[in-house]
Amino acid sequence: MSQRYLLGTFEREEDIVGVVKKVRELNYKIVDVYTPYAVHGLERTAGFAPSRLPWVCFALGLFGALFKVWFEFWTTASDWAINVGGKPWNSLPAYVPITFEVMVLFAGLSTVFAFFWSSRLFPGKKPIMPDIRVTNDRFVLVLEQEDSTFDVAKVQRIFKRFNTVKVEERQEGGQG
Amino acid sequence: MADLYSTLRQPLIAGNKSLGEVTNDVSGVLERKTSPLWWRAFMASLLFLLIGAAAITYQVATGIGTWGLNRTVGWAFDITNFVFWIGIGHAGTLISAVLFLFRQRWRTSVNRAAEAMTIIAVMCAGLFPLIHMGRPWLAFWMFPYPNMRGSLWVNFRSPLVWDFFAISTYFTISLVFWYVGLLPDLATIRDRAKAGIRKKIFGLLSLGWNGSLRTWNRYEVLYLLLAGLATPLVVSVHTIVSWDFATAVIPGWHSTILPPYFVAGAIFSGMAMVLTLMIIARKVMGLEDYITLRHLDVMSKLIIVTGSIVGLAYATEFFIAMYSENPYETFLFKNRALGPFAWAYWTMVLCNVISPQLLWFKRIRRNVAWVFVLTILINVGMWFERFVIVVTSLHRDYLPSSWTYYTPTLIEVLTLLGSFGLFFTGFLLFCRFLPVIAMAEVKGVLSHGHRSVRSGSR
Amino acid sequence: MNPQARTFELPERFRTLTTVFAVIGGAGLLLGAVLAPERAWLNLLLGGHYLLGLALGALFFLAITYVSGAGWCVVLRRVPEALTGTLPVGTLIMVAALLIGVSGLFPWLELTGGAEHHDVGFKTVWFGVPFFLARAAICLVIWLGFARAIIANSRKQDEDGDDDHTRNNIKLSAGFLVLFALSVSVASFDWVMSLEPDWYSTIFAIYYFSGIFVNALATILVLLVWLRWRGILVDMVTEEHLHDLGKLLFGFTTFWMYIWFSQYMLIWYANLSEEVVYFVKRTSGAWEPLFLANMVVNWVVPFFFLLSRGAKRNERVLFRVGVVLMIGHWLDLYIMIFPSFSPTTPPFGLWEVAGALGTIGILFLAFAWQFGKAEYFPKRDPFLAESRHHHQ
Repeated sequence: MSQRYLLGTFEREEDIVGVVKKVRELNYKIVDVYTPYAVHGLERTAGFAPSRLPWVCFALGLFGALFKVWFEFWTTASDWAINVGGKPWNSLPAYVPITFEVMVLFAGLSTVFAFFWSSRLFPGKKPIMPDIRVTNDRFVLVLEQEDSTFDVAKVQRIFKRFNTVKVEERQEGGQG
Repeated sequence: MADLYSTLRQPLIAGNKSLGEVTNDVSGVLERKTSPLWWRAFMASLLFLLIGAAAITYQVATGIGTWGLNRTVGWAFDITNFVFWIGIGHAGTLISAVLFLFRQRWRTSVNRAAEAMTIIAVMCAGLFPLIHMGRPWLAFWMFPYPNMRGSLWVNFRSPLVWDFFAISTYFTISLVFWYVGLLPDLATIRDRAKAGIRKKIFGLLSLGWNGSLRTWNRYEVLYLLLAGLATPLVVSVHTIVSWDFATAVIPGWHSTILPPYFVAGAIFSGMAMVLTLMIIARKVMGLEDYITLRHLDVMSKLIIVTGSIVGLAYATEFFIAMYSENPYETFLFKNRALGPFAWAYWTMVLCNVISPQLLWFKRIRRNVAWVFVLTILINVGMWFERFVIVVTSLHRDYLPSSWTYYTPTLIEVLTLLGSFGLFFTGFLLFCRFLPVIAMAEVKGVLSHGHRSVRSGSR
Repeated sequence: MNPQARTFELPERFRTLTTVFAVIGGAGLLLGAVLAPERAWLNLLLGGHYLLGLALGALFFLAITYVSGAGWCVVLRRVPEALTGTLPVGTLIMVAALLIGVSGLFPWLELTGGAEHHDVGFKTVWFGVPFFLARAAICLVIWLGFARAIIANSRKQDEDGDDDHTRNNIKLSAGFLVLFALSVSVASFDWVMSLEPDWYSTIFAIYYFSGIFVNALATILVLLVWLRWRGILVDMVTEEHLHDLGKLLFGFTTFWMYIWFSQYMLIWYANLSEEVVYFVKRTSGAWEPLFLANMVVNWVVPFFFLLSRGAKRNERVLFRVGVVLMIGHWLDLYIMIFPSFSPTTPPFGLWEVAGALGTIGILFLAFAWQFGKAEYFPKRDPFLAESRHHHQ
């Protein structure tokens, strides 16, 4: 069964926010929304689940910090202990700075890579976009026509109410 | 979703721009032919860079005996330049991360350029410890890898090793933060470009970004997390730089206030440098609608805040030196103000504490020429601050027979000039090939302040 | 339309309880003045620092939000305003503590009085009693003056709705911040650091400031949540406002830890005898567990409990963490003040209990007195609409 999609293009933030809210209320299936900039709160309006990136950040940051404390202790106090300036073998206050730096490094890099991975972003990827202008000044809402009850004319009327500039239907593969 | 703004608010971006106009204004500059002005500036910077490169080649080949150091002053020009450049970098992270957390929306016009400045400044800074090693090809010894010497590990108790970790982490995270911020804009430029090399390069760099809300959703969380990490990071970096000095027992270096004092000083100098660069860029690139007088005003206020903290730190150090009744501390601070380097000390005070007070006046904050001159003075003053801290604490030590003076050699001065060459070369390349203003962020604040609502009307 | 604002009265039972606390505190310390003058004085000093610091921290919060043009916090501004309004109370206690102190208890008095002192050093001049008291008077007058002016402007705006009050407060705040930085430095050196007359640390003023500001934020949150549980400001102050306050609290507890660590690490690392004496006292004997507990209470607990977004939006979590921090600040001051007089054992007994109870009682009574003087929120502030519709 081939998938059919309905795409509405909008020009203003208020319109895209309004239309997303409306189609959500009417329980249409939002495939995706394309925007030129981050519209705050739109992901909640569209009903997308919150990202789990904070967990990656927390876990890897904690791991980095613990690893570094152990590593500094092991190298400085155990593997080859050297007396430097009469400081104790286990100079915990002196380990804090690098532990912090390594924690930030682990947490930061791992979160960025997790972001690339979960968003499937990589060099050489061909961007799949409904309209070339979504990175410039257009907002596009993509709905899936789940079954025969999907009333294209009705949805078009909703789109019209939010000042749509273009409505089109596409078969599978035509969009992202 | 309509935001409500008090009538006391003003629009962030002037000229009532549409989304498309933002894209045109910012990317248009990159698509036009290179201007002769840019070429002239670039050639001049490149010349300085080459002079610096020659000086570095010479001192690496000959040895760092080419510097003006002596038995008493064992640390001077090189470390001054290092701290100076690292400090410059701090404003970029402040604007991109700290002000993001504090939701200062005006930052969107300047954060991209400030972050680029950070990255280049950190590169300039990294140059100096590298040269100082004398054998820069062995720099990787700083990294704690299992080796054939034991394994003999690096000394994790040493602030210089902390510095290595701090600077490399700072560089990495700043670069990543900057790149993540660039992604949507790289895609914008890709989609404007006609087929060809430009489209290919930007296509590769933008990683297939398509503006999907699912990606934006994660992107915003990522940005928040990176900002949350970069904020303590930027504080830690200059803190650790200050510990290079403060962990020693030398009067003038060993002072507990150094960490916050250095961080404030770093932001102070960096903010001045951002303003210097932005004042030129807005004029040359015609970005006055984006970097408005209001931006100069707000950033000048940040300069007053950080500059005042620096001034307070000077006063506190002086006071505690007297209060402690420690003869060495007392002598050191008297010597700073009245000794042979008094000229450097008073240059510092004049540029960092006295002249910035003019910024209390709104008329001066909104006068481009005045702000430009004052920021240049601050740049000079902050360089002298580090010079004063490093050199005046050393040149008259506990043994009066070894008291001496310090004068930099030509090689040292040329290396400093070379670092400026590197800085401006890098910044000019950035201005030429990448969007100077974060389009995707500015678009998000276009409406800010345009729909005013009187209090209590809803 | 704005919901109608009203004024506040402390619930009957709560009023009785806090009055009892205040009376116990007052009577206890009066008794102490006879039986154990030094301990009673130290507790009076601690209480003075606690209450004065709280009011100053709240005033700093007001000033910094005015200067930065922050609109979000306008709906809850009356809480820090009322805390600022308690400044005269803290001032009175501090004045009493200072006057009693200079009459024989400050350990630096021997530097200035004795004829044997042939060498006139900096401290001999600095700690001359009239000069010392004059400095204290200047600091207190500056704070009282700015507190009064800023609060008066805000309350006047309720009546005439004039935007100029906001503009005036922005200017006043900028002036206050400059003078505050100088005066709080002097005050912290004079009233705390000087308890160890031979010791010095240039970061000390910032350390002192970070403590009072964290405590002010924690107390604002605790009072705000407490008021909401009593049905006040319920629909005005939303999760978003709590979230922002939570973020500030999270940030500044970490700032406190950073400043604490900077001071400790540098002194530990350099290991100079005249400096380490401070930490040697505070890590010896029974002081050590308290020294470690100080970090746990003031940083570890707030850090891990407030790390997640959900926690910063949860008023129960915020309330509990706030209370922990209010106790934490007491402990922090205790560790700053007491070991100078009792180097091996942390004294804890009747006088400390009386001091702490008195502080709590006076805090609530003074807050209620001030909070009752104006409406619950500045109803005609030009940023009110923005603050009410505050979201992320």
